[in-house]
Amino acid sequence: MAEHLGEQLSAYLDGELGDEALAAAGAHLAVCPECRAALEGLQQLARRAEALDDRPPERDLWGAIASRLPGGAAPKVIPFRRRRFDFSLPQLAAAGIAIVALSSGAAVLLTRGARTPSFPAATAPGVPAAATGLASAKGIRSYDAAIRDLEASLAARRSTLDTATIRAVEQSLVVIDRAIRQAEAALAQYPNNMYLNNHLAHALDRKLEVLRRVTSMAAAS
Amino acid sequence: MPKGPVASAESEAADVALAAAGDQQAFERLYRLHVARVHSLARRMTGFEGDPDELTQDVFVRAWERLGTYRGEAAFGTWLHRLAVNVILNWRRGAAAERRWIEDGVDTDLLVGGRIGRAESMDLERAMARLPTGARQVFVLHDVEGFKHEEIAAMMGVTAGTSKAQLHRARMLLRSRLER
Repeated sequence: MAEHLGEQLSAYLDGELGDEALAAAGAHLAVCPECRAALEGLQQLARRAEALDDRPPERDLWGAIASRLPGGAAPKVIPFRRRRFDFSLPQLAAAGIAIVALSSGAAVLLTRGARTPSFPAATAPGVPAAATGLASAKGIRSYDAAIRDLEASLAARRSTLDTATIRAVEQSLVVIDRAIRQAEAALAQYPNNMYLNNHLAHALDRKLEVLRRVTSMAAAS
Repeated sequence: MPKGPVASAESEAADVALAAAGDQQAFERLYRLHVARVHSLARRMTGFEGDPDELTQDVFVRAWERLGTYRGEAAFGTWLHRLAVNVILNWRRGAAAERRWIEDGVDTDLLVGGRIGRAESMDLERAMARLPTGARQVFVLHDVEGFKHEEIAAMMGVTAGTSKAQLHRARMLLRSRLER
């Protein structure tokens, strides 16, 4: 009998032998129980290897990863509804200025370029119906108009917000504006991606919601 | 050959694009989707020699840094997986300089004090961890992850023939240990 197959067993298992070598290996296996047993063992091993399940780490590694990313962990939007608002005159001017400046930046974003995402209807309460659908450039302009209306309304009553409110609004709008910029950048790569369109719509809704609420509070003071 | 949780191609592509634009929350979703596969790869490739948690962190930090180079030519999971292999192999090359006492080719049963008795059967994961480094890496890449010998050779800086020889060696060692 010829020598055992050795490495050729693996090549046989993986289908890597040429015709001649394959025929020779087959002839050897027919008469060599030792090589047949080895081949059977390797076949079982291959099946087990293919069936291995992936397991997550025992502890969550995300916190450690996020701390190593530039800027550290992602900031969270302050839950606006949970804040208690007191209004005083000196705090108002700063609030109005900050909000108008930030939302003007958003208006620029909203009117930029010829983006025509097909959004589902946005859900910001109190926003004109035409402003909540962004299926066209007209929709974007309507959205922009809604923001301008809120800015004007807020500016007229801007002397009624306290410092804590101003800070909360600023922080929320910074985060939301960042999300809008990120969504716009992503949409530039995948303009027809519905997930991204919804993501942008959600960010815009959040911005309108913040502006609408702070304007309502200023008006109620 | 994808394993683990599956996201829709559209939502994953969106998260990749958002993450490339700086959205860490999108990147966290990608992390949650792929961490099991990356961690399992790190654990299997390093055996007793490395910390798979630390390597997994390194992989995702590197992925964040290099997201801008991802062109969508392959699935994100495939891109991430190849990046993970490179990170792990590079770690191994660096670690090798510090751990010369672990020579490739040494049966690591000897290094762990022969804790595995002959009568004790080992499961495949544990048996893989005790393979010599080169044989273990080739076995994981070929038989578990599905890479071809030419790909493995390129990633590891060896010839395809060496990869084949290491694979056969790994298989025979595993067969022997699993049949004890």
